[in-house]
Amino acid sequence: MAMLTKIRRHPEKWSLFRPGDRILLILIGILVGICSGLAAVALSRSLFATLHWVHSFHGSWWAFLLPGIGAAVSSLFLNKVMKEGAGHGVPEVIYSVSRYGGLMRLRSSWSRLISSWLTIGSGGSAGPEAPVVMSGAAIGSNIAKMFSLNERQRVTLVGCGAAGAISAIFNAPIAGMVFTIEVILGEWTALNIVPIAIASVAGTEISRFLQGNNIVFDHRQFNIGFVDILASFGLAVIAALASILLTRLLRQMPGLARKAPLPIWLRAAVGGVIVGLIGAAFPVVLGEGYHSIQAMIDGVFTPGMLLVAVATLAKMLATAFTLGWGGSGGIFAPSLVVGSLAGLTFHRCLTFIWPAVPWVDEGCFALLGMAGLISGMMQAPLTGIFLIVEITGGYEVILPLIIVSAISSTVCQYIEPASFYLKELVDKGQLLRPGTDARVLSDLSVHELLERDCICVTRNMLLRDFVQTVQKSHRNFFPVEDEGTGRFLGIIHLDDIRPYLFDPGLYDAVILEQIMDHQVEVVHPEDELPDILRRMDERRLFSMPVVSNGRFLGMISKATLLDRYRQELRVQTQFIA
Amino acid sequence: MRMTKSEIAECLNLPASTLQRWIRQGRIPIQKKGGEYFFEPGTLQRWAETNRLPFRFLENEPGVKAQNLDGSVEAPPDTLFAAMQRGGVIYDLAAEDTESLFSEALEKIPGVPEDLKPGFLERLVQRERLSSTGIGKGVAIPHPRNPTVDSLERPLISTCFLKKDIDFNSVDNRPVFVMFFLLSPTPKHHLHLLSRLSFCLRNDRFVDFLKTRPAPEDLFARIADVEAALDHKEAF
Repeated sequence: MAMLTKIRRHPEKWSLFRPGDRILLILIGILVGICSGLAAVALSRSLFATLHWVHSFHGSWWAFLLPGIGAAVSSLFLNKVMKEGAGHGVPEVIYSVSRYGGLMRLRSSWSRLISSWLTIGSGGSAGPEAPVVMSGAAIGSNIAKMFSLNERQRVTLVGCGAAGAISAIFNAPIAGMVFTIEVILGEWTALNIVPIAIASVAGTEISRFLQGNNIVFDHRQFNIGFVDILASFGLAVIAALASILLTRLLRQMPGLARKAPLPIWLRAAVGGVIVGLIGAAFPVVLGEGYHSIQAMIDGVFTPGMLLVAVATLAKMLATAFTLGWGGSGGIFAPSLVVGSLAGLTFHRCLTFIWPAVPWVDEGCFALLGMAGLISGMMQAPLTGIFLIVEITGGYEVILPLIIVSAISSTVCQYIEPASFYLKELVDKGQLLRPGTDARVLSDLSVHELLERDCICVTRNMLLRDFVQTVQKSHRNFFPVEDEGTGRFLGIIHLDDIRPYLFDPGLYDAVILEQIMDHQVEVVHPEDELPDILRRMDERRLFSMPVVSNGRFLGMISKATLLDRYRQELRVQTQFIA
Repeated sequence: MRMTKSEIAECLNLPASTLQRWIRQGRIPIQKKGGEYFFEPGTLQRWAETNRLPFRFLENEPGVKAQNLDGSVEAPPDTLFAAMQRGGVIYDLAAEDTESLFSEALEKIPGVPEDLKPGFLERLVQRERLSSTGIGKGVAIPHPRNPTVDSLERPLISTCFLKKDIDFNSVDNRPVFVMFFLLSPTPKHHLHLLSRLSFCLRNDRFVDFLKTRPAPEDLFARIADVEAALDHKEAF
């Protein structure tokens, strides 16, 4: 047993892994992919069963209370039992990857599964994808911890978890891979792509093994003409506007909810009841909505143009009330539903205005609308394209699909520079993508940049003795300390006192306290580098003394910073064999 | 291979905190097990090369510590005593003008290769034209304009007593009776020796001693004494 533990702790000792850690990462990646695939299947199966069961109550007058109860229990579970914040899941994973090298809590690997099952299963308008991504990522992170891997490997395994989860829930390996690279990691290297691809395969395979190889939204052949391609430009703009609207609603709602003087679980209940009421009028908004999507793609979604347009808005509101008031879940599935409703609305507008034109089936527009919404919400055009191709099994729509995804994400980026997932992180300055300025500056600390070769002098030193010190020093700065306490008092810059240095008449007449700079701008070791650099720029300084608890530690200078910055950038972007 | 963190940091010329972070983030091919750090020397060497970081193993000989990053070994600065011994002492230079004095001296100074002499002469004269090297009290320190071209391997100072005092446009307009030819391979050597020599010459008693045109052994003994005193003073 001790032997086994030893092997597990130090896998690099196995002779198989001598050539490097790639094989090791791939093997662990398979394990992570399987585990997160299982989590995804578990959630989607239990949701399916629960929604079916809850559906039987829909005739009752009190059915609108169900989403409220579900959201309240979910909120209680997450906040009081698990002690985790609400949140959507994906931003938390991105934050952990940026800031903590992918470190995540073990309980995160299942807490979101339960809370989102409660929210969505009872009819709340949210998606199971983000919870599954978070769960998969936490599984990856904790498996990495178990094997005592380093941060780079851990981040790759977090990516494996996310990829496995998305692949399993949508039966879409490429979408899982692309989503992970584009949204979660933001980095595409030869080293991380292979384990993530393998994990996607593992996740997909486990889902196919357990629930069969089904394309999520099967459909008939679409015959796409030139007019449809033209129309897709218009749809792209509609999808972008819908994305912006949904993003804004989701962002404003928590602020509104906080104004309600209610405990957190009661707020979730209120939100859920509102969703239930909307659902009584438009059943399409309830749950994750995959059934409605299928109906729309098949062209059997009956309501007319105005009704569909109102349903689109209703779904957005329902999603905002579910997630903004404390329910738990993601925006993936609601985006798909809103997208297909928007596509349908657009198609009905077109047929209303130009009834003579032979438009393609409305299902095709529903499908394009989904791609537009996903690309717009996440500002991830590749994810939109590959996800829709894979979940619909429709390669023939690829051309309008690319147009809609590209334009929708561009328009959204123009209006909202940071996507829904990243907005909060960007605002807090916590989005640190690999190889960027922010990443390098946040990794370097003041301690690593300290220059300790300054010679300290005391305040009562005569200028004559100081001249001797100047002879020995390589630096232009001389920190002045109190001889008794060692407290930092100020600094002497050679440039400031040059005239006195060559005046022997002053040698015995001046002590250092009289010529030092008392009002010196200092840096503390905990200060953030971007902040320090800003202060240097504002005051046109090239170096600043670093002082901790009144003691001088060293100097920090732009010259050393440039040196270390380049070194860091090279090391971070360099591919490790 | 196993080393402590601070040893590896020193090998790579990095702050220990940076190294620790890189190991934690997995940016450097070093494994941490418990408190110990393992690596394959070849892999780490290649990694350091691709990242353009200096990498060298520390050795325990104290001389190697002074090694520069590019691998060259910096010689300890020469003593005045050694440089003057190499240059020797020449008595009774007879020439009457600056240029012929220089060429006569160069002929007699030991250790200057024949093919370098024309170059040295030209640059000694060039330097003299810029401003006189007569530093006063009857002493001149002629040196080439640019010490680094076609240089000697080690610096030397040749002490040349003149047969007859000559006018040298010195700062104090006093005629010169002794010249110290200072030929050095680098500016650093040049400044080091020049500063030591002028320290000696600041002392009027030393100048009076020179006026007696002492024998080489006496001169070197005196230089050694002064230099020992100077070293003692610098140490504090």
